[in-house]
Order: sequence, then C-alpha cells, then structure tokens
Amino acid sequence: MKMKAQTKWGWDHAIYLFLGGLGAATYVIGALAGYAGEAWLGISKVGIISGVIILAIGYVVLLVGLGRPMNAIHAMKCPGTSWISRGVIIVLLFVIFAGIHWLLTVFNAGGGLLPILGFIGIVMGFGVMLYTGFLLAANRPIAFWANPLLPIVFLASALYSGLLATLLLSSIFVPDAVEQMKFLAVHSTGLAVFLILAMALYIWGTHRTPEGRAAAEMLMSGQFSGMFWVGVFLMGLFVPLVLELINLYGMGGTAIGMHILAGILGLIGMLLLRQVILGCGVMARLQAARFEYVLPHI
Amino acid sequence: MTRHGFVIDLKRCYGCYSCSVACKAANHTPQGVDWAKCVSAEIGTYPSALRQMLPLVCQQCAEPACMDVCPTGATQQDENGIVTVDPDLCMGCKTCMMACPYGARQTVSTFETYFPDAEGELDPYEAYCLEQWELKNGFGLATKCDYCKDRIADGKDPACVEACPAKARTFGDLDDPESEISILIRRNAGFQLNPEFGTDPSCYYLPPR
Ligand code: SF4
Ligand code: SF4
Repeated sequence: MKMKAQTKWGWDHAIYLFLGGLGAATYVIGALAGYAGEAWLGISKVGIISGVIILAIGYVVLLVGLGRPMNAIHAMKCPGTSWISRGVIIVLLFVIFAGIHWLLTVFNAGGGLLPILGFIGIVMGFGVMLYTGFLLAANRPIAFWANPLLPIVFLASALYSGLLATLLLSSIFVPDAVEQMKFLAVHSTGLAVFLILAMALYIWGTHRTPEGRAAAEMLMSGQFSGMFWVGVFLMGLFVPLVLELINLYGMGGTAIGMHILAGILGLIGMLLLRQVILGCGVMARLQAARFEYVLPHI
Repeated sequence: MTRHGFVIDLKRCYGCYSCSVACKAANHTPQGVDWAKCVSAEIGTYPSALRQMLPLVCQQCAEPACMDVCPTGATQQDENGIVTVDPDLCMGCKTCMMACPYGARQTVSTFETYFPDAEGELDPYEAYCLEQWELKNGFGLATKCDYCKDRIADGKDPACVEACPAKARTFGDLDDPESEISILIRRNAGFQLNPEFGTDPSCYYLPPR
C-alpha cells in the first residue's frame, strides 16, 4: 500500500527553517569572531549584521505563510508543551539581544557591552538553530521526523550554511581577510563531512518503522531522490567540499571566487535539505484489526 | 462527569458515505474539508480478498496531541472531553495537523465552488454555507469535527450518527458504565485506533468480521 506524506508544510516552512537556522548561525559565527581579536573585526561585523537581517527575513516569510498572521500575537501562550511557543520565546530573546548587538555594531558603539551581548546572543542563537529540529521531532505520527538525530542534523546544517554565508559575504565585503577565511573554510569542510555522516545515521535510524522506511525510500529513490542526490548531496555538500579543498590545499585559500561559488551552491543545497525532510514526512498508517489504512488529504 | 464518545461498529459499516454527506450538510464544510471521512483497505488476493471500510471522525482524545502542540491556546478541550478550535486564536500554523495521528484536522485557504461553470453569483445554498463557514471556522485555519456540539446541546445525536443507515455509529457517555456505548465496548471487545500514540481516543471501534 502506497503511504502518503504530509503536504501542508511546504516551501514557506522550508524557507523559514532554512533562514532561521542560517541567520542564527551567521550571527553566532560573527559574535564568536568578535572575541578573536582585531584581525577578525571585519568578519565579525559581516556575521552579526547579516545574521540578524537573514533571521528577520525568515520570520517575515513564516508570518506571511500563516493562515491568520495577526493571531501570531498569541503564539507564546503554551511554552509548557508547544515547541512553537518555546521557539517564539527563544527567537524573541535572540532578536532582542542580537538586535542590540547589531545596532551597536552598525554604529561602532557599545565597547565593553558587546562581549556580554555577544555571549547571550550566542546562547540564544544555538537555541534558534536547535528548536526547529525539536519542533519537527515532536510529531510522533511522522516517524521520519520523530528521530532524535533530527535536531543534530538541523544544527549541523545551520552551522554549515552559516559558515558558507559568512565566507561568501566576507569574500565580497572584507576580501583582505584571507587567513580568517581560510580558517572558516577549513571548518566548513569539517562540517560538510560531519553533516554527511549525521545524515547517513539519521536516515539509517528511520528504518525501524514502515513509515520511516517509506520516507527513506521516498528520499533516496522516490519522489524526492533527484532533489536529495543532486540538490542536497552533490550541490549542497560534495561540490562545496571539493571546491574548498582545492582552494585550501591547491591554491593556498586565496581563490575568493571559490568561496563564493561554494557558498551559493551550499546554501541552495541546505535550503533543499529542509524541503526534502519536510516533503518526506510520511504519516503513520491507522490499524484496525488486520487492516491498515493510509490517511488521505494531510 | 460526562465523556462524550463514539462507538463505530466495523461489521456494520458498508461504506455508503452517508455520514460524510450528513456531516457536510450539518457543518457546511467547503470543498477540501471532510470531517467524517471513510477510508478503505483491502487484504488478501482473489478469490479470498477482503475490503473493509474505516469511518473516521475526530477521536476527541482525552490526551489530545493536537492541543499539546498548539502554541496559541486555540485548541481547547471542554468539560465533556470535546476538543475545539477557537478561530479567534488560531494562527493557521498547521502544527496540530502534523501532530494528530488520525488526520482529523483540515484546513482550506480559499473557497471553491462546486459549480465552477455557473456564471455570476453563488447559488443561495452555497452562499449560505460560505457565510456559515466564515462565521464558525474560517479559511487558512485549523478546523475539525466537534461531535456536532450544538446538536448535542439540543439533545440530538451528531449528524453522522443520525444519518447512518446501518446503525454503525453510536454516540454516548464513556464515563457512564451503563451507557449503550460502554456496554457495546465491554461486550464486543471495543478498541481504540493506534493506542501507541498515547492520546486515549474517545472513539472506539468494534472489530470487523
Ligand atoms: S483525533 Fe486528532 S484532532 Fe481529534 S482530539 Fe485527537 S489528536 Fe486532536
Ligand atoms: S493551526 Fe491553529 S489550532 Fe492548529 S496548532 Fe496552529 S494555532 Fe493551534
């Protein structure tokens, strides 16, 4: 019997999940760079300024996709049980602290306040990267999501896309920071390898239920296989990894164009990763005596 | 206390969809929304193949997964165990639709007429249904069966129960051990769908043949 995946969370949710993680990670990288001394100042500014803007764009996309955006004002009401409520609180705290950090950075002010704001922003930023994984993992009827490795995959993918975005933007705005970009590029290759392993484990871990197996099949050889193999694996991970390795070890890390190309491909791939995970959300079948039923219209 | 519940006898249901139509008429659900669904499954191969219908309604779970995940408090449970959505609070995030194991929640973003070739205004019945839907539910929001709360308050059965020609559906109080549904469950090995999700549904099924 052909199992069906949910269709109600589509591109708008994928874009938000992607931009939310990307914005938080880019900010976190920028804030961390702020502790690394004078030489990192340019990259720190790039990360902090762009991270907050990216997250804000993500939130606008999310709000526009809601059935009744005005009612989002009530979204913090149930933090005891709802991951969306928890997420809204985390994002709000992030926006407050990272937003002040952003303003002070834009206006070159703040002095001793910046490290403190940065620390709180970093903690909240990790919260933003992680909560979307928990939000999906809390849906028990969708075995492909209800997997404890999903928050790890989302965290790693957010950090990886944050590194690529920082490299991409730094290549444009602070092209002289070659050594710093090399450092970021090394970490992006490490994260790409980690993400490939984490995804392999994640997909393997879904094989315990028929729904999980159907979802994994949909991903690897079914409806979403093209998007997964070409978009996520090849474009998002493998090609950027090879480009950065060639750049680092063949060209001394000086090829700015390679950072830009790796960044663009990697970011598209990480957006597609969110979309394929949402699209493969196969719902559990219902069981009545010997009969098994597939739910329609979800 | 009362815990409103359903018993659906799978031996009796023959898949005539009267419940689906009665629900549509009673609740003015637009195209794309079907609160009283009937799904079918088959096992075996010819000549010993079997087909069995499964009528579905919101299971009015005692521990509703949909309510836990709802961030706005729009999903509420009344003192009789009926789970409802307050359209003034719902923001249409569809999280509840992902959490409900029974596919009981549905949403439509726009109204589609059943008569797209007809020119001009909607016919009066469709216009009335649209008005009622906007008043009680709305577009882009989560909607679900509420066991015909208004009918129950008037002492009637839910519309699908009244319409079922096979008497496959019985409505009653699960908390009363002497109610018809409690007796049916006890005597016929009534069971809940997919109890592994831990939602404790108030809808019980009697086994098929
Ligand atoms: S069947 Fe679904 S919508 Fe109805 S109460 Fe249970 S979890 Fe909620
Ligand atoms: S769609 Fe409405 S009822 Fe469902 S979880 Fe979101 S706010 Fe709650």
